[in-house]
Amino acid sequence: MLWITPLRALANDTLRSLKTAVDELCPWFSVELRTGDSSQSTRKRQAEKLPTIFITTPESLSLMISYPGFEERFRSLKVVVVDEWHELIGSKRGVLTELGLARIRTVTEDIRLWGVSATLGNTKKALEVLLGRWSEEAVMIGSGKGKNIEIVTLLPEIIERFPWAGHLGITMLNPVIDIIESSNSTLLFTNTRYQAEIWYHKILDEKIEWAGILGLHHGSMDKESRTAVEQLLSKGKMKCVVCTSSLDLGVDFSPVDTVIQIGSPKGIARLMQRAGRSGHQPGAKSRLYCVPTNSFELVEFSAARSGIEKGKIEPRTPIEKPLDVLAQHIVTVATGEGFRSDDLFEEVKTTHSFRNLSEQEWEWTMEFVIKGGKALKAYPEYSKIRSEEGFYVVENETLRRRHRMSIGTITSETEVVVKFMNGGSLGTLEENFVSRLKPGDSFIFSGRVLEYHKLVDMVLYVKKSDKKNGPVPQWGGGRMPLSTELADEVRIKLREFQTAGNPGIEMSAISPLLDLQQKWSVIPMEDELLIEKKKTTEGFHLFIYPFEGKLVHEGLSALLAYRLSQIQSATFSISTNDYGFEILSTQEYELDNEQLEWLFAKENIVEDVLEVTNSTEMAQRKFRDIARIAGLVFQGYPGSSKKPKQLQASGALLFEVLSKYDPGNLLIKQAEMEVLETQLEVSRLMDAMKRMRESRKSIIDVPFITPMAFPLMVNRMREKLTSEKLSDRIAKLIANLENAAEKEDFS
Amino acid sequence: MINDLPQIKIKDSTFIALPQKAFFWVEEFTLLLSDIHFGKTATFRAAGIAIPEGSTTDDLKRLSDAVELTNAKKIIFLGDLIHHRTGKTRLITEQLKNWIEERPDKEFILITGNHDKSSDGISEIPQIKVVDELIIRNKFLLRHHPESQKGFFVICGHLHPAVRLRGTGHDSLRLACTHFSKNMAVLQAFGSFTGTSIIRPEPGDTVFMAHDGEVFSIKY
Repeated sequence: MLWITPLRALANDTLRSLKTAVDELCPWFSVELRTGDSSQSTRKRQAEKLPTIFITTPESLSLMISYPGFEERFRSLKVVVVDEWHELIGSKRGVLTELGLARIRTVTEDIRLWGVSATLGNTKKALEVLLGRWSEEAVMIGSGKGKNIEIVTLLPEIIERFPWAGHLGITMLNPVIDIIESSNSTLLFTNTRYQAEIWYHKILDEKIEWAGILGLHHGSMDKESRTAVEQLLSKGKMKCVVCTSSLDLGVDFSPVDTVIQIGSPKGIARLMQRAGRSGHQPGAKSRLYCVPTNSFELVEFSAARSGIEKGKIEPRTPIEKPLDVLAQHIVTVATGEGFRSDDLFEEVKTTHSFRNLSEQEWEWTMEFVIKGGKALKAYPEYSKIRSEEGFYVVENETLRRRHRMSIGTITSETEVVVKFMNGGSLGTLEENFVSRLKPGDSFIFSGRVLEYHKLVDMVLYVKKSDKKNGPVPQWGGGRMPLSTELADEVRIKLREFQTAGNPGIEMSAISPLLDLQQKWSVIPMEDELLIEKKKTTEGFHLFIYPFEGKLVHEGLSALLAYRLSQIQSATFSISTNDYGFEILSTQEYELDNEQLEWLFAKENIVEDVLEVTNSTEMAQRKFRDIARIAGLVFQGYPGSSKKPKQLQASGALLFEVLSKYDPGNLLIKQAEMEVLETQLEVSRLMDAMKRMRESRKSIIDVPFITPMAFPLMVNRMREKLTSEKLSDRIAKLIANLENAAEKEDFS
Repeated sequence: MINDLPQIKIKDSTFIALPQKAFFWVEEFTLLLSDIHFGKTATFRAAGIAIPEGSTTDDLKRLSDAVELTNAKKIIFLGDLIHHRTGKTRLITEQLKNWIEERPDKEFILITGNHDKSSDGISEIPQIKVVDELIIRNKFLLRHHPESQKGFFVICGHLHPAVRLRGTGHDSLRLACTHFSKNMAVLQAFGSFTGTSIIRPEPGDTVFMAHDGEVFSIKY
C-alpha cells in the first residue's frame, strides 16, 4: 500500500498512527516512510525491498519514478491512499500527484485508490480530478456531521466610525492575554508574518514570565526553530504560539484547546481549518476567538459564521495542463525507465489536468525537453534526452542526478539568509527589506531584536542587539483577498442589517458605523451597486463598491479608470480594498446612463485589462517558478550552498531572452495565462463586470466622506506619505468627520 | 552627438557614458567595457538547460556601434569575456574572432577575470593581448575585481552592479548601472544574458545606467 501525504511533518504523524493500528491488527506488516529527509541507507534498503505500507510525499513519489526499476518494485501495489487531497488539488503539486498516479496505473494490474479530503465547495470535482479517466467508478463517502465550531468575537469597547486598515488589533492585547492565560495551550493566528512578529513582541512585553513558553512560527523562520516549536506544542509545553498560515495544517496538536484569529480570515474554509486546530479529539467542540483589527471585520466574522453554518465553503480550482510540470514529468520518466512517446502521451491524457492536452502541445513539450524547443534548432552542445529507436532515455549521469535534485514544484525564493556570526541560522528576509538597512541598524525578526553586522553573498550576519526595538520586516504578497463566498455572505449581512429583526451581536456592535453610512449614503443591497461621488480640494472622488475582493478591484479600478479616460482624458489616483475602490480624478464625470453602459460594457474586457496593467512585468515574475519547474533554472544541490556559478540566471532574465529569441515558447504563454487567471483573476473580473452591469445603480452625491469610503481614502494617502505625517493627517480627518457626524446625531 | 552624453571627470581624464553599456576614455581613445560573458547561453545548453541563442549577435552588434560611435583605437575588456569552457563552442570563438579580424587597426586588451580562467583563456584569438592588471597614466589601475589600491583610481567590473530606484508605494525598479565612487568605478555588465547585484551608492557617488539604447546618470 502506498500512502501519499502533502507534508513531511504529517508523514511522521501518519507513520506513528498507522504503526499503532498495524501492531495490533497485523504485526507482520512493515510500515515505513520515504521523504526528502530519509537517509541514504533507508533509501537503499527500500530500493531493494519495499515495505508493506509505504508513506511518502508527491515529490518523493516522483523521485522514485526517476529511478530505473520503478516498474518492477511497484508492480504488486494494491492500494493507494492520497491523504489531505484538498491541500494538493489547487496546486501544481496536485498535478504532480495526478501524473504519478497515472504512472502507477500503467505499471500495476489493478489498484484501489482512496482519496481523503476535507469538505470543499467542489468536493465532487476534487474526486474527479484525483481519479482522472476512472472517475465514473468512484464512490464518495462522507463523515456525515461536520465538526462543532463555536465562533466568539471579541468586541472592541469603542467602535470606530471611520475605520482604517492600519491597525494590528493591538488595542485588544489585554483581553487576548486573558484568554491565553485561562487556556491550556493557545494558537494565535495572524494573517501576515509582519503581524505575527509584532504580536509576539507585544505579548512578551506584557508577560515576560512567558519567555520560553511563548513561541513564534512563520514561513520565513528557520526550519529547525519551526520544528522545535511544533514539537513543544504537540507535547503540551507551549502556553501560546503566535503563527501564520504556516500552522494551518500539520501535525496533530491535541494539547491545543484555544485558537485565536487576529483580523479577518478572508475565507470561510480558512476560518474552519484554523478553528479545527483546537479540540482535535473526536467529538470535541472547537472554539475560536476572533479579534477584529478594524470595525468592518466585525461584519466579516459574522459573515464567516453564517458561511460555516450554511456549509458554504470555497472551492479549490484544479490547474489545467501546466506544461512546466509536464516537461518535468517527461524528463523524470526518461531518467527512470524511459518511454515511448505515444504511450506516455496516452498515459498523461488519463489525468484530469491533461485530459485535453492537444497533440501539438505534446509535440511542443517533447521538442522542448529533447531539443530545447524550436528556437534551439540544432545546437550540437544541447542534448538532454536521447532517443533510441523511439525509446526516450536520459543517458548522461550528471543530467540524471541534476534532474532528480530539481524534482518538485515548490520554488524557494532568492532571499537573504539571516545567520548569527557563529553560524546559527534564523531564517530568510526579502532582499528589498535588507537593502534599506545599514550595518549597525537593529531590526526585529524571528522574535528577537537583531543587529545588522555584514552582508556577504546573500547571507546577512547579525548579532543580538542591545536595543529594545527596531523596524519589523514586511514580506510582500502576503495579503489574501476576500473570497467570493465570504464576500457573498458579507453582502447578505449588510442586507440583513437593514431588514432582519436581530442581525447578530457583531452587526449590532457595528451599528453606529452602519447607521452613519445609511444617513450619508446607503448600505448597498445584494442587487445594488453603490457609487459615491464627492468633490474635495483633491479633485473628484468616485467610490465604487462591488465587494469582490482586493485583487479583482485592482483590475476593475484600472479598467474603469481607463474607460473613463476614453470619455474624457484626466489624471487618476486609485486605491482599492476588499469592498471597493476609489478613483480620484482631475475631471468630473456625470455618469449618466450612456456613460455607465460604456463603463461596464462586456466588450474588450480582457484586452483593456492587459492594456492597463503591467501584465508583462507580472508574467516575468511568474516565470521564475515556471522556469524552475521546467528545468530552466537549476537551484543547486540540497544542503549545499554551492551552486554551479556558471549556471545562474534569474527568471526575469530568462523571460527576456526567451520572449526575444523564442517568441513561440509555450512556457511564456503559460506565464501570461497564469497571470491572467491567478493574479488578475480575469474570470472573476468578468463575473464582477456582469454583476455590476446588471445591478441597480445608486449614484449618490455624498455630503461627507462616508465610513465605507474612508479606509479607501486613507489607503491612497498611505502610498504617498511617511507614516508619521500620515497618522497626523488621519487623526485630523477623523476629527473633522466625527464633528460632522455629531452634528447629524443632534439634528 | 557623443558630446551630448553624460560624462565624468576623474584626475584630469574624461569618461563618457555610452548608451551601449560601455565607457569612452577620451584622452586615451579607449573603449572600456566589462563582463560580456560570451557563450553563456551555450554553457546552459551544454548543461541540458534550454536557452536559445541570439544574445551573442546582439552583443557584438552593440559593441560595433560603440566602436563606430567613438572611433576608439583601443578596446579594453575588463574581464569575463568568455563565460565558461563548456560554452566556448567553435561557433562562439569564431564569431568573436571574425569580428576582431574585421578591425585590424584596433588594439584589443583583455584583463583576466575569474570566468576567463574557467574558460581556459583566449589563445584562439592571438590579436587579444591578455594581462592581469594594467596601470595607465600612473593614476589609473584597471583590474577585474573591485579591490581598491592606495594611490590609484581603480576601474573594474565583476560585480554587475544595479541600483533600485523607488517609485511611490511599493513600486520599485532594478536597473543595471556603472558605479563611480571616490576611488573606484565598477562598470555595468556588457552582456545581455547577465544578472545583476544590488549596490548602495554613498553620498557623492555617481551612477550611470545604460538601458534600451539610452543612458542616464544620477548623482547621489
